[in-house]
Amino acid sequence: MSFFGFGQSADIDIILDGAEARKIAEVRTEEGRLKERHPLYYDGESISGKVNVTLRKPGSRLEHQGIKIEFIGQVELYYDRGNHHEFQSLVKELARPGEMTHSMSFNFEFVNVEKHYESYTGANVKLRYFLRVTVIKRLSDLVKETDIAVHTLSSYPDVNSSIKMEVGIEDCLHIEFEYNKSKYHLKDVIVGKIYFLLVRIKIKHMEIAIIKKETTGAGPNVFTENETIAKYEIMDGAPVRGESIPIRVFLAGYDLTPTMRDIAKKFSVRYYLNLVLVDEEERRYFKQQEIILWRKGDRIRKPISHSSSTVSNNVHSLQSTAATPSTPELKSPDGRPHAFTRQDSTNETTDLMSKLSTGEINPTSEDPRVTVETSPVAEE
Amino acid sequence: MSEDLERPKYLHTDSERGIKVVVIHKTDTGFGFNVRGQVSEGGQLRSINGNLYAPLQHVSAVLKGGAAEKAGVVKGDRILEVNGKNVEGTTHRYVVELIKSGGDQLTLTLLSVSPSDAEKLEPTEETTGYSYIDYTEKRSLPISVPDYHYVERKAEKFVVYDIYMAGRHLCSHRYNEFVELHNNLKREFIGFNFPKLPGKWPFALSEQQIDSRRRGLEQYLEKVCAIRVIAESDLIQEFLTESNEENCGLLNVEIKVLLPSREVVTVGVSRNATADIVFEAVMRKVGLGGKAWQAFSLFEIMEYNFERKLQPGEIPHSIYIQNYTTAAATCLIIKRWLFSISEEIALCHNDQIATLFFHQAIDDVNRGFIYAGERLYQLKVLQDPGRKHDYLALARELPGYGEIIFPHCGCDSRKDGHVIPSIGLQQFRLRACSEDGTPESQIIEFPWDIVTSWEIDEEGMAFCLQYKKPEKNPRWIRIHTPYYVFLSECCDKVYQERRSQEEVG
Repeated sequence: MSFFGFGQSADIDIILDGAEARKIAEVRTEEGRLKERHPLYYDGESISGKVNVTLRKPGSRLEHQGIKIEFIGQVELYYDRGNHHEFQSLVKELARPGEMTHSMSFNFEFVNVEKHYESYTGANVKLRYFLRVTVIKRLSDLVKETDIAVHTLSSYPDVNSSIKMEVGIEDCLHIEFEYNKSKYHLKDVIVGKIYFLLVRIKIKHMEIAIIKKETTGAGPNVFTENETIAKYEIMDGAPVRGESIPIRVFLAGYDLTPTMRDIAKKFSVRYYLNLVLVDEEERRYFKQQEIILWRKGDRIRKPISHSSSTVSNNVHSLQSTAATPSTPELKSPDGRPHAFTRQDSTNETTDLMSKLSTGEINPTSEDPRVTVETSPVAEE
Repeated sequence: MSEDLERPKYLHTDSERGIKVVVIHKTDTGFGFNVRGQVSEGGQLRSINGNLYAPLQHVSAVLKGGAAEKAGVVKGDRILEVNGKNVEGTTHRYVVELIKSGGDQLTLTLLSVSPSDAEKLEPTEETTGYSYIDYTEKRSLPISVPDYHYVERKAEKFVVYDIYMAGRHLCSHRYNEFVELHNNLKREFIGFNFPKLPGKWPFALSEQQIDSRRRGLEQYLEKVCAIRVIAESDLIQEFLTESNEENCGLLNVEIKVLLPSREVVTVGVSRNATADIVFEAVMRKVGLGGKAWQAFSLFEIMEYNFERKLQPGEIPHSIYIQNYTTAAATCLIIKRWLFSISEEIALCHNDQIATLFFHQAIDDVNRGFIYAGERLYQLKVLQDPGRKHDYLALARELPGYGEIIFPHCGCDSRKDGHVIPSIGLQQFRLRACSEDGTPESQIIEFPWDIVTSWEIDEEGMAFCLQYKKPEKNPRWIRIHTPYYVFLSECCDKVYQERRSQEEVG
């Protein structure tokens, strides 16, 4: 930052080690237009490199009160500009107060840096990691920042609990929908089907959409931003009872991030599949279901000991849903599916809600933080 | 087979990554360790010792002297493989079943973590929802930044802003100390939306800008301290009580002190000035010389109608900013510290000193410490500064003049009910009263010539007096007053005055 056109006396460059070999991640900028490219780091990786401070006018001197480099991870809420919430902050001193008579280069290394959260640029919030070099001077500091991108990897079994539910409106429309999994990785395919149990309205078409909900803030000021990431028609025309419509959505083609819950207690990003049926009178019936998105790591680690076999997962083909722990069919006491009374015809959309019984596996209720302790000591 | 119990034998170690393979043989106490971990399968990869792993079950306890301990298992070890099978990211139940499946022998591949890493991996109290800190509980504090002043230190001149609480000067800080506080607060209270601090400015500020900054800092403090959890946090408490190390001794604060006439005098002293220094400052400001100093002292208003004399080493400023029992501007007051009436008469030649005694007497009469009785009307007539000598002359004749009366408290010689202790030049008196302080008729007097000694019992928080009535044995009496130190000091003063009187007369 220079005032009154005095100009900077020196240029600062931050060069990261291993930049050529490192993967680049494309991160959306705030305006959403251009994509910035940043070197990609993972949790636990060390960040090292060097800082070049180059004097503009050769032969000039740069007097300073110290040079330091910081690694900062912070959450910026757009509606609260200027208030950055730093959840991670490391600092290293590069030079003690003194005078630079010529351009200098300083090495730095932050060892095994914790990076719990993924870099994210959203509609109302931004989480970023960056290195900041500060040359402290009397009037105004010289500052240079460079961003890095962080991806968080997860590991989930390939076959996990599917989502299966029967929903509808009494005497008008009963459908059963099924998605093959509740947790999908970012390059996964959603495979499912819609089965019509009862059709008494004239349906024009059916579409499926992926909705991203970004919730920011806490307590009384909570903002939710909904964005439709993808939408396409899966059925055109009126179905009849007993008809089954397949669903296949390739996630790799869309701009998705992993599901993020309560990041740094500041924001969440969650994804939903929205199934929408539209009838002849343009009334919309919809059912939203959350799915967990995760980022799969393609890194292979060295085998630990001589004999190691992978987790013996049950290998199930997608057809045999009976074998996987799926939801039992939801039925009310008299055998009919539960439903929500249809809203007035003047209203556009209707939420097909189904009453959640204990048997249904709803991904949102699963708390990975539930831990259990066992002592294998006690034996017969 | 000889087993080396000191150094566990690892089958295979990969010390670079902290990995070890151990074999545990079941004993009559089983394997001797507990496993703990998540119920579900899969999760986010976290880095341990620089490598990424899926959520791992870990060893939560190791039985002392058990099989696991002998094999080299340490509490906190993460479990990578059980009997050769990789268990990264698996369910808890799966790991337990594998452990049981091997019969009497168990081979584990473990990842050792440092205690600090173990803490981070398994946070003991993780809040699942939003922060549990209640930011809605508000309590408005009378904090203000009414002015600033310049400090010159090491050839540097800068502005320091004075922080007041309820009109009393707490401490002073410069702008970048506020910035530091703000950053620390933001780090500690993540969920709270902090107001903005007035901005930085690289150049010198004009008076107007400084004042505008002062107002901004005041607003900031008001808003931030209004939230109860923040106001009570260590960060704020330290900020408000400390100044810069170097400033500490040098920092000047303004302390208000009451005179017997209820006038307020303000003196500037350094923050850790002792009672002696503050007292002298006040007396100088009022214009009273050394002679008066022996007859007055600095007192703290403790409760209704009672003041406690400050010990010479106490620091009035810290009392000043903590005691808000009175609605007055300050809890510090100059009061008479003299039991001898003859001394007082001698001092009253100085008109100013006489005025002080005069106001003191009025106060004592109003409180009922000087029992006016039927003479009250007469006194009232004389209650005029122009007639102070007459007023004093009359007041001196009344019982209770020149005495200090303490709040009622318990006493060991009285099982039910309390006593009201009072000290005068002639005697130590105890008046019986009910437990709530209502005076009763019984009065016991101990003239000083039968008092043999006194002392304080710190632990028992009591004042003990020994007296010997003629033809009787010496007896102790214990008085359980919270002001036992002050009571003892009064006795010392009386003793001192009586002795000097004897020497003179």
